[in-house]
Amino acid sequence: MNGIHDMGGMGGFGKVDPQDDEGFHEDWERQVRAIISLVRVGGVDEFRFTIESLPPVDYLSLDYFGRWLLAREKMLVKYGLITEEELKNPEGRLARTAGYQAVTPEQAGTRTSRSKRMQLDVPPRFQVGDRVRVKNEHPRGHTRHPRYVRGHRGQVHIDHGVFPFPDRVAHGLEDKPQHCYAVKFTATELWGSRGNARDIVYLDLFDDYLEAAS
Amino acid sequence: MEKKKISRRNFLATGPAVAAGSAISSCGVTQEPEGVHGTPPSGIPLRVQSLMSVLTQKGLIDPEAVDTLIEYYETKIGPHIGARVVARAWMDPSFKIRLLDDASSAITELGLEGIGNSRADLVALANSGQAHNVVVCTLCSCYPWALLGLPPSWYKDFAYRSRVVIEPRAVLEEFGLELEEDVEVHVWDSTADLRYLVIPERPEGTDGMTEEELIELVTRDSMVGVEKLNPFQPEGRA
Repeated sequence: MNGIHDMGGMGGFGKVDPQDDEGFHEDWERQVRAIISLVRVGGVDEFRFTIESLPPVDYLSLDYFGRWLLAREKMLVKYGLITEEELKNPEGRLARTAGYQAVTPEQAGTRTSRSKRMQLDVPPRFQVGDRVRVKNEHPRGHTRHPRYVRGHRGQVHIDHGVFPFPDRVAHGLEDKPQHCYAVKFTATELWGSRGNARDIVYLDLFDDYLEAAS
Repeated sequence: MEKKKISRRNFLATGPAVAAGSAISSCGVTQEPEGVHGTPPSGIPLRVQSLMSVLTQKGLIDPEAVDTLIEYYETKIGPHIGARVVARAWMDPSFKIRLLDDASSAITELGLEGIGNSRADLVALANSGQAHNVVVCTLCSCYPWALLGLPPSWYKDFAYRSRVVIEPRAVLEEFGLELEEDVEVHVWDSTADLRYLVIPERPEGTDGMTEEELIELVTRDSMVGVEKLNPFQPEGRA
């Protein structure tokens, strides 16, 4: 989706504040972080798409963990673990969910997310060194090729192997395993005269985002 | 951090007109406007309380598990883990070769395969006199949690996400890092399932140090690529 989250190259956000370097500012942020890990619904791709689908004004006015909160609430409702009614009246006496075992304190520190790389024999469409162009596509759903590389020419730099395709996984479709590559772009290719001729930008891009370039 | 919040609120109260006026002067604009950041709606902390209450009553979350997990994030994982990888790469050139070739597999030599609760595939990037690497995630804020712990707020802020790819040298200067004009800047936008760790150059003045001593010198920011490690000065002689 051509959403507000796709902000590479945008202006207007001011300077970086290196002093603002805490992991959490407030206790509620700690709780949101923990809820995300402990009450899992859907996958990370669907979670990202839910965040990207927040109204742009909300996206911009919330901070990182605020966006996580709103997106996770939506997913918990969608998957039927809670209802909007319960969120509005949290003081009501709510029955325990039958058959659900919450993550215990003993399990909490060992929750892991596994590598997504797949040991599948899927042929790569490109080899390291190949010249490629990022397709000029603007999907309505989730995608991981930012606007700032679409239509631009680069060179395959690393073949990372085979991964599930997030554009499909985020929407509950079969995962269409394919190669993902680090693709190298010159800064001037992407940014014209704003780019420094010495500088390079690398992005990890899936096979389906790319076409051969001469 | 409190200072920043106040400045954001002040800005929201008085800033937009000023910013608009300063930004769109005419052609020849060289400065970006100061930037409007979001201020979280005041209802958010209450909303989190409500969600926690619902999840707890329904038996979907154990509040003690929340405490355990947060303690884990705040004390068990952190840049001290990534620092072990960097120090080993400085000490052992053959390890560095294996690390640059396949970082996910090389870190198992340090017993790190089970550490951190994210086992995303890892790529190591070596800085040199010719090229400086810096990592960002423009689309969300992907970060090598397993090796560096919690991402700092600035890494997740819109300013860093939007600007590093288009003007990395200007952003690095805001971190106090001025690179020589002939050094290439390599920006890595982690848009997929790989996580990137920068291996900073070993600082001067560290010959003969032990691996444990070197670990102490490696900072989080140097492993994201927004800092170069200064030459080591023994205490008292700085």
